Amino acid sequence: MENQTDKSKQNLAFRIAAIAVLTALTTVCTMIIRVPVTPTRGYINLADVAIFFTAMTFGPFTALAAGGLGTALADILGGYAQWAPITFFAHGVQGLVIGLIFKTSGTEEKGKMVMALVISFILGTLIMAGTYFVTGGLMYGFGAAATEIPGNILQNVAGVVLGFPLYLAVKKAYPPIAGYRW
Amino acid sequence: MIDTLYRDAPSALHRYDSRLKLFLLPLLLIIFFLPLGTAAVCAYTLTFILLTMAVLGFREVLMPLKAIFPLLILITILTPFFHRAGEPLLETGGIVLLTDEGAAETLVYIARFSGISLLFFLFFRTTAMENILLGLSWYRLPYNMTLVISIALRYIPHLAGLYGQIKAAHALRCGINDELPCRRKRGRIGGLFPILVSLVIQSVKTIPTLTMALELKGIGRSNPRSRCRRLESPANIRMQLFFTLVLLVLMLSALVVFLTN
Repeated sequence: MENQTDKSKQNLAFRIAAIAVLTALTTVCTMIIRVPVTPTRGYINLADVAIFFTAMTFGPFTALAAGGLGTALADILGGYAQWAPITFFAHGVQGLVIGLIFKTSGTEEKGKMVMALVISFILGTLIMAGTYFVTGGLMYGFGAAATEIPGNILQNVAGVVLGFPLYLAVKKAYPPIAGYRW
Repeated sequence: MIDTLYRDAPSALHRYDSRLKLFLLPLLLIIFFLPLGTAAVCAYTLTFILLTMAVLGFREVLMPLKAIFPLLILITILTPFFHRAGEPLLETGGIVLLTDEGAAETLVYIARFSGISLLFFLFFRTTAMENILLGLSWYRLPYNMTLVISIALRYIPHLAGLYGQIKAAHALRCGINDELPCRRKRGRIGGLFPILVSLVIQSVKTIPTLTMALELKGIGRSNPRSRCRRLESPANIRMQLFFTLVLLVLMLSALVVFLTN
């Protein structure tokens, strides 16, 4: 199995299949799986959980494509198409940066892993919330755009809190996934 | 049920070539960000409202506006606080709540955001996803990228169904007298996590099968596969091209008039 995945990870068909499935998974996590937030009586979606998982498991470039496309598709399908190009950029770059941080730090040592998690959370939040704030500010004013910052930060918190245990659980339950990174 | 925004109808906008629509979309979008003034932005947005009503009907205009309604309220409440210059229009106890410039800015933001939402809604409501992808391929978007989007669109309903099945299967594991996990916040997330793990593993397990299917189709071969699907031009493509050019000239002349004044 290890040899098969090692060979196939270089394969174009494997890359297309992985990005397509993870894009669909990100869309489902964004559109369907929602966690109610009691204080605001709103919902947070699990897009960032999928992006964190993809970045840690499959690497930066899969996270860029699957994170950007998956969330943008969710916007288009959910009736918020005006956000799709911005979402593609915000979540795509967020995935790329998180993936690069984990690629450079490695996922073996516990200390480095925690450090990478903290850095990726800070940078991911800055990129995602910052992009939405700037583009939202240009579209409908920075006053209204600022109200979205707490929600975006909360979503990133959910990304780290659920994304990292998800990565560990899936890696433990399905060991061949370790060979899928490129 | 997950579906694209597209609804088939016998309108001129539905028959409009997707390549021309893709060409016009960013140009029409840019106009919203030009400093045109309140009346001009409102008139421009009104054009899209009227166009949506003419092509899709009155009810369809409400659909994108309903989705952005909470944000429109926030814009109305918060924008005047950030634009306090100008003549006061509304004040209580010496505190200016609304000025004429603040009201104008609020109107511009509401008109701009509603217009952008309607523009994108019109585009996706009148253009089938496969035509958008074929149009993007015509503009030299890599074949692999369009392939990824097509496969993802086919997998989304499958994974959504799978999520429902896994959720139902996990719910069956609870005894009839067990306390429902959704009663507590921690239990709610704790109950979601095993479902998420199962969903991710099931999704990842489909990757090798999909890889084999793609390899059988010839993806990744040294000799590239031939393309069978092409975007067919509508019968009145010359008319549509002419209309697009007229629109382009109108936009450019409006821009020149704006810059010279």
